[in-house]
Amino acid sequence: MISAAYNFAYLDEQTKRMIRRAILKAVAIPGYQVPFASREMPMPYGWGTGGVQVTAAVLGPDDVLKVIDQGADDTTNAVAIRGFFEKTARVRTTTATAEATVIQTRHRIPEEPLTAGQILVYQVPIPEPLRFLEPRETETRKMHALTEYGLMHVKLYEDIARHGHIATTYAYPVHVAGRYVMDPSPIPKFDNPKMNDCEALQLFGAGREKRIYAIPPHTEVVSLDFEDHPFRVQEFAEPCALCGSTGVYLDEVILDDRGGRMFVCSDTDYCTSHRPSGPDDQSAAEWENAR
Amino acid sequence: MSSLSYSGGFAEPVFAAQAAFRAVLDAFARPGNVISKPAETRPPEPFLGVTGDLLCTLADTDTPVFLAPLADEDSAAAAWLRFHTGAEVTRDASRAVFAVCTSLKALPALSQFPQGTAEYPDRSTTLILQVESLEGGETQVLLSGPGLAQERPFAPKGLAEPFWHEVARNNGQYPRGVDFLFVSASAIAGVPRSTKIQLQGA
Repeated sequence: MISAAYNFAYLDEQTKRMIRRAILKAVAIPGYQVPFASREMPMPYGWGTGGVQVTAAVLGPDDVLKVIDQGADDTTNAVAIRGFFEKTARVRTTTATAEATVIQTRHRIPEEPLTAGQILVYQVPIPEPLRFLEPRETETRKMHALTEYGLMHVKLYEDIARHGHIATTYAYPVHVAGRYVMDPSPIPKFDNPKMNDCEALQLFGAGREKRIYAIPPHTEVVSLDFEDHPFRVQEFAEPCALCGSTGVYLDEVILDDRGGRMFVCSDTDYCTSHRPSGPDDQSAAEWENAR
Repeated sequence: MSSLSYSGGFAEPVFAAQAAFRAVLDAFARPGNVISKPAETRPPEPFLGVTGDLLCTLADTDTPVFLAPLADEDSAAAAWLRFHTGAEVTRDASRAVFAVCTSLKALPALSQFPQGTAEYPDRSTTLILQVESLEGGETQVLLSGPGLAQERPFAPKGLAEPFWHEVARNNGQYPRGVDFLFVSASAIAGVPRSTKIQLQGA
């Protein structure tokens, strides 16, 4: 039931206008973090308040919404946010990536390539890629203004000096449209190449930090690296234990207390649709038993 | 203030504004792409219906709107805008968050508008330019940059070479600069500051 006390998609119209203006400026300046007057949402910071506000500002009655949390449609955060918009906007929801027009995501990009009609909304905890290197906002602003990104390269270099390779595996910094260095939110670096020249519009919302940024479709997104240490994504030795897919991002699942484990797709929709013989095949039964 | 000012707003403000916003979002995300947008509002002259839609979608008490040519305080257009959006109609281009240009000859130099600062390039004007048509103009430019898989030709009517030189200069100071929305009677197209402009034959 839609609650009569709330506007469509929860936010009032003036808030939506303010967020919409910020989104438009974000799209006009790819990778630049636009400050916005983030509202308190009926969920704690860190649960996707930024993503929820961006979704609420773009969502219309004809949209089909998908929400994922680390690739899964059925984890707490995804279920809660999907329920929130079913209740406040009465939009149709789906778990199928191809069916969705708006996809809100926490820390993954779906495996299935996105299309031109889709908008991907990221939940972002810390939007400033330079924050752990320089805590002062006044200084990071200036560094972005002057394209002063040497410090980020020093950080990656220190990784190499210490570990022999770039040890950053998630929230791996990217250079957007040749101008701004941007935090892609804590997606695994495995997903970074999917941001480059993507067909879909990508919007990023950070509620606590009050920033919105964007990558328009077909925009160059380059992961930072060095000539002698080029950017590489994670590789997995085995295919997914449930669907047998290779070249996808896998989660490790602990099966027992004797060291048993399996690797399965983190993208649950992709995994379900790629199982060879439906849900009753052997590995799925094992998986059920393990639970 | 005539009674014209009170009528002609969105019939369904929430959903009409959402639909109009998505059209604008698409226009900025895919520069030069002509997006069909039926007019929902009926503002007084010289505003087109689609211009009224965009203003009702994006403007409010936080966004001073500049009108070119300069509107009288009690002109029908200014009164309509104030009544339906609450926005202040300013005569000072340097305060404009939005600028509506209904006659290109009256458009001040782009440098008169806020361009944003190096630290906050988002603090700049969005220009809404009314044109007769978004296609079939005599001067064609090639657009490239974010949002465009390949160069896209763009030729709205009534925009001559000097205007496009100014737009190209605007891109030259990226990430500072203003953003453009071109509006006709039934469609919109966007050219954000990130878009590179190449004059054909130049």
